Amino acid sequence: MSATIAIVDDDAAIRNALSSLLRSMGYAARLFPTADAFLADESQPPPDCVLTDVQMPGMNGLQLQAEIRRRRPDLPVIVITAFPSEAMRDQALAAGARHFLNKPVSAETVASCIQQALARPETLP
Amino acid sequence: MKAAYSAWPTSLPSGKSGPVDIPQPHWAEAGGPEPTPALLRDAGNALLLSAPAGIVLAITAALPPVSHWIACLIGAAGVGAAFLLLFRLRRAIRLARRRSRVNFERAGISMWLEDWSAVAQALMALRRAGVGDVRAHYAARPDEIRTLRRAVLIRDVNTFAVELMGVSDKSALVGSLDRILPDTDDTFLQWLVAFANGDRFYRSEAHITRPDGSYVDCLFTAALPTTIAGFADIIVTAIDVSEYRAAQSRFVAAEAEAARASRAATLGALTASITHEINSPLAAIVSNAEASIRWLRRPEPDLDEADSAITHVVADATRARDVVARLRTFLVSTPKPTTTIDLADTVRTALQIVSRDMRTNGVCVQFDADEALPPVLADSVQVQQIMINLVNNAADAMAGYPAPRDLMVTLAKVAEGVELEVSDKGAGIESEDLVRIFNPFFSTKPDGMGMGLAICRTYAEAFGGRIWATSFVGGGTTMHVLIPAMGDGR
Repeated sequence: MSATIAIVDDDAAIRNALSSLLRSMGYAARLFPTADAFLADESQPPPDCVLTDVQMPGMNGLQLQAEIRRRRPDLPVIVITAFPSEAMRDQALAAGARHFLNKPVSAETVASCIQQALARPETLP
Repeated sequence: MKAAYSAWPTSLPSGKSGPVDIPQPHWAEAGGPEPTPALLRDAGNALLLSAPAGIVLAITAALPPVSHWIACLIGAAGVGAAFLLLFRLRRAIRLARRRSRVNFERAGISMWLEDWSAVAQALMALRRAGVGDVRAHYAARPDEIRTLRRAVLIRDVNTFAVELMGVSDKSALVGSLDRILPDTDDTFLQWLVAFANGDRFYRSEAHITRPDGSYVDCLFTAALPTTIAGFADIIVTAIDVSEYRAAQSRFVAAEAEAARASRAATLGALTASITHEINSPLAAIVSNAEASIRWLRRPEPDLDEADSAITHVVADATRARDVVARLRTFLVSTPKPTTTIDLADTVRTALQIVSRDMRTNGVCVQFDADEALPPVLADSVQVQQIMINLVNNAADAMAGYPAPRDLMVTLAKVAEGVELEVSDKGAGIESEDLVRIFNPFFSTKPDGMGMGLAICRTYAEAFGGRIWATSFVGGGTTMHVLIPAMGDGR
């Protein structure tokens, strides 16, 4: 059974593009326009990995990451943003993000990061 | 640029030239020496007393002896009185000179006795040659200004001036004005204009050079002569305003730094925003394009998914194009100004802002503006930014060149409005570069961002005007900015 990747991004074009890309790689994709929508989702099976944008209305990606860590510490989170900064990268990685990616990102990079995230067990305390 | 002005403008009309009917200042009409002091008139009284005495002596020589002796006594009394008056007169003159000398030496302000006779002669010669606009004449001839400056002589200075200039003896200051007024001074021309106008007083701020090479900012004042002879002994007073000027410069620098920081912050925020706005559709395009390739390269190509992904690529590319169009509208469209400004005043302010940099770079700035420039619709801050950009570029173009580094700024009435010109004597611009200098991100400077002239062009076009350059390789560059007169229909 293929892994399910949750895509959290307020930009529908990005959501759909990533969805198409991940599905073309054989993953199942589940799309959420906001962090709250993701947190409220109780669909089964739960996602195996989260690919989240940072800047979103309401709860942002870093806050979502913290909340996921509180609720499901084993769920890997990959942060992807079109508004990168060193401070944001440091903050995300320090909070346990598996990867911090800048938009636009290549298919190879996405594939590699997701494979690593799914393969590597949670290592943070 | 120093704030330099003469306090009492007079009747000399403006105009580039006027070979006929050029009004002359009153000193040129007076011609004779300075007015006789009251004490000297007493000399006349003495002569009036002695002359009748002599006449009485002559007439009574033919009279009887008794009358002769009486007449002799009267005559002798007259001559005695005359000599007494002359003695008192000479003593009074000596005393007045001594007092004047003491006052000059002890004055608690720097005083300079200067001989400007050569200037009077030069101005008279110009008038005879039919030159009506002295400012324009000399502004276009910086070498003539230098020659005249050399011809002005400092004849004497007082103790305070010796102290001000940091020398041990006044002999170190006596001599040509050229020794203390540096080439970067731009107020000498104001003196010439004040003389030509027949002004009664002069006041300006200028920087002078101490013998040790340091600069001192001074406020100069002088009562201008009323006769040609008076040019030989003009007393100029100077007050050291260096600390005030330094504080003013620090304030201007702090303001500029705050503005620069604000611009940098704005630019940073803008860049981040643009990055986000452009990267988002780009990210979608990349992902969709790569997804479509993957759908097509499957053992069983999924044409529907590929078609959908490619359709999204087109939509996202269109979105990126729209973002760029919106940014261009937002960034490039500068609102058309709605108020009129005093261009000469605005240019002077801009020159004031860069004056210290110009001095540091040894650049001699000459500014000349036609009188009665027509009102123009423009934004004064934007005009200043244009000026600062152009003047800094001109100074950079002359960096490393031997002095004199003359930079000429003019404002002239033209048919379409007002033309601002900034001319340097630098290396000039190669013709292949000349057509690109207004393009964004084009720069011939190693550390240049290449936005200065692009911004100038944006501002000039916002006024409904235009900007262009003329240049001769090896002969310097002139930047032209045309600002249409109000109501020019642009």
